[in-house]
Amino acid sequence: MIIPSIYPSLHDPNVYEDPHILMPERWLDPESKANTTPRNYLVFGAGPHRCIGVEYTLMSMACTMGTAACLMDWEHIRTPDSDEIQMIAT
Amino acid sequence: MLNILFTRKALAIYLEMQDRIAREHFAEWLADAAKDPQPKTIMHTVRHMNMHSSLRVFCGNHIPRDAIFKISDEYWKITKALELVNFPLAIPGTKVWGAIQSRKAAMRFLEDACAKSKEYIAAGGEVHCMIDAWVKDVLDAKAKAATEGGKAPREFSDREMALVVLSFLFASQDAMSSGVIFMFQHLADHPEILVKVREEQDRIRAGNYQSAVSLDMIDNMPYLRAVIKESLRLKPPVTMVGSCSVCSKSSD
Repeated sequence: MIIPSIYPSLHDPNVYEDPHILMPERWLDPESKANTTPRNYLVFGAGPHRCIGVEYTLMSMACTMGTAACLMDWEHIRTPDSDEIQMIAT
Repeated sequence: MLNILFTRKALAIYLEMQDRIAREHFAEWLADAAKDPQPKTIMHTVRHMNMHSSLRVFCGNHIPRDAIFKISDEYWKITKALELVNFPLAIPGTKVWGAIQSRKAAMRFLEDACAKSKEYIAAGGEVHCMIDAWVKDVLDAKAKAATEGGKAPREFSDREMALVVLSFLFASQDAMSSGVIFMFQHLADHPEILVKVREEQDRIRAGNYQSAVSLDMIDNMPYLRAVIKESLRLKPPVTMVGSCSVCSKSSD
């Protein structure tokens, strides 16, 4: 069994300049490298088994985060664990 | 065939529910923060909102409120039991055994919800959640086959439907929760981005923050959509997908 990781394709510097920086602007220009290279964007997988809930997820996140931005203020108190990621198998 | 559960018409029904539930949770968070302003981790807080929202989207009012929180807790036990490596032996007392008991408990509620949805739609009820949309689609196809001839659609048992909902819950409770949590972190770490998100929200909602957001409004939020896409790129909630190919001989 082969378990590929999608992480390298999402941090490929040839497609995403400064891949470790959060830069929403890279998605705003339809001619940008990010937008013209959709095969690298494997967040929802690819092919016949691509996530069926992709539209649902984007809608749901936009609803939650858009409303959160309107109604709340929040702060992130950085700790030594702030950049650690706990992986779980599901 | 599951695509009919994600049509634009269906998404609009789900969105209305999600908006209401998100607001309910935000009000709770703000009340809690007013009582105790100490910083807190948000993982379980966000996951809890997500489970509530997902279960209502999937099962509507066919599931009682206390069952939502029960399933949310049971599901966490299933997730915790699935370590990266463990022996698939369900010996009583082991984590795997515990997970199987949790799964059974969750399945009972979900099967019950599917049975209720079938009764509700058969009695002429309107679609108000995902399983309703599924039941209605089968019922309509059946009626069409009866009047116009043609092949009758495949019907799904409560158990089959509940298994699909269970698999959707898996995707929702870990991947979506993780995506939302990273987004909260990213926006807190980048106030200049949050300012732009708020400017766009102001414009689209015309200063009215109390009304529910619609699909058309979301379509008109290119900046927020770009932030979501970028947040998911930087910190993808799912990094590895195992796949197992099976070759089978066909007898035809």
